[in-house]
Amino acid sequence: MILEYFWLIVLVGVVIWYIVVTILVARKGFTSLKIMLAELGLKDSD
Amino acid sequence: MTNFSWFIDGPIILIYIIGTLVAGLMVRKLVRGVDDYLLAGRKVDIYLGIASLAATEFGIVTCMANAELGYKYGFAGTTPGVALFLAMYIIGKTGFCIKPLRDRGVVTLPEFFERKFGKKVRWASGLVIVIGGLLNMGVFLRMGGDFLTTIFGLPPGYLELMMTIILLIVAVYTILGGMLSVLVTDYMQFIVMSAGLLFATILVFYKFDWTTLTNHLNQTYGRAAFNPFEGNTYGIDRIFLDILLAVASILTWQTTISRVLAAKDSRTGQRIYQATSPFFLIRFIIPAFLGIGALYYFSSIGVQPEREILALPSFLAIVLPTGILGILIAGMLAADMSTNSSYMLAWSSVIYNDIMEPIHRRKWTDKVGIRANRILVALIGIFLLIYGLWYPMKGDLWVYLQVTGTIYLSSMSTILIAACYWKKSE
Repeated sequence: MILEYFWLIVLVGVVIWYIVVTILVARKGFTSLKIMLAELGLKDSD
Repeated sequence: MTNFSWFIDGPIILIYIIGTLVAGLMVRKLVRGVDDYLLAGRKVDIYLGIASLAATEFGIVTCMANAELGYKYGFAGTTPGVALFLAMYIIGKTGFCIKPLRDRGVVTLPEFFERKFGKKVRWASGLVIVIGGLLNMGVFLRMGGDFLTTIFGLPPGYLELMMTIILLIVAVYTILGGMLSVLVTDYMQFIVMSAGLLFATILVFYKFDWTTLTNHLNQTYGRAAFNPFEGNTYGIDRIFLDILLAVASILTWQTTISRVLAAKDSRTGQRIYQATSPFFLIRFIIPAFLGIGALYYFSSIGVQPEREILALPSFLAIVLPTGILGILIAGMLAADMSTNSSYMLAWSSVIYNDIMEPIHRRKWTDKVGIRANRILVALIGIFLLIYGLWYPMKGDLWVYLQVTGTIYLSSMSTILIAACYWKKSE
């Protein structure tokens, strides 16, 4: 039973981590992308 | 049998594909030199790095391979993911090899080797990397085609058509925009892929419940399904192989290491590795869980999938409702496109930068260099199409990926460690 619970905690843990990182990357990654493109010359990236 | 609907799921997929193509093609005009084409001008920061690395290293092929491991070994099949997660976190934290590599400002590993061991080592290592890399990638299109034909409920005769469509979409933006297009599309693909995977996982968890799935695993494989050290199902030799391969691939796999090389500086590269490391566990746990769901489902209805590798798409096509299936397929296509584009670019960069170095001797203009790289990406695409149709896949897909990867991982990781830390190598 202990191993089943261990894997349950791992699965739930990685799913929660995945949701948090996806939201974080979606928000901050977009800003990073705009800055990168602006630096490379796309002035109207906004 | 499939719940896929061309009228509901089809438009979801079409909107995604058009969005990716437009975004990928929009940035092509920013590519002015070979450095922009291969490394996006080395302007990648941590969030973009995470999205790009995670999207690159998760494709349909990874998902099918890892679902197959879950289907055949239960949670013990996620051992390579645990090894990769730990290896990536430790290497990111310590900067072992990746710090000196990024500090030197090279484009590829062989370029770094040349500074230590001379031109011949650069050329030879480039050749070994490309052979291992292309063979490894050789089954990607085939697996993508298999996944889509199964989930769409199409006859096997449509496989070639599916492979060609995937290749054409990816090749168009990779050829024209290089790493810049790959980064922009990787960002979009990471979000779509994550949404699709999370939807599918939560739905399967809700539909079959944890106790039912784990009880069935216990009945089928016993305790070995939860512990790779127990019984003869997985085995200590395979665990040892997983650990060695994890360290070697995190240090030297061109598509992984290219995100460190494209990072703003070595500190950013290390942080990208640390922050992305849990994703290397996720890319095993989630598909393996879906594979375990497939094992239960097919056992309960008394039918086995045509091949174990097709268990995942067959399962998802039946258990996911219309609409959600469209999101998942768009997500899987996203995962596959980002993987294919990054891999095509990674191997073309080694061919151009290292194997062709004696030909161009860095004297070609940027315009000629970019054109040469575009031709190389197109040739790699043609190779993938031919190899994918010709090679008959036998045994575990993950083992195929490990064996072909080992062609270069074993030698390159040894040379890299020596190049970084063996003083007599100067």
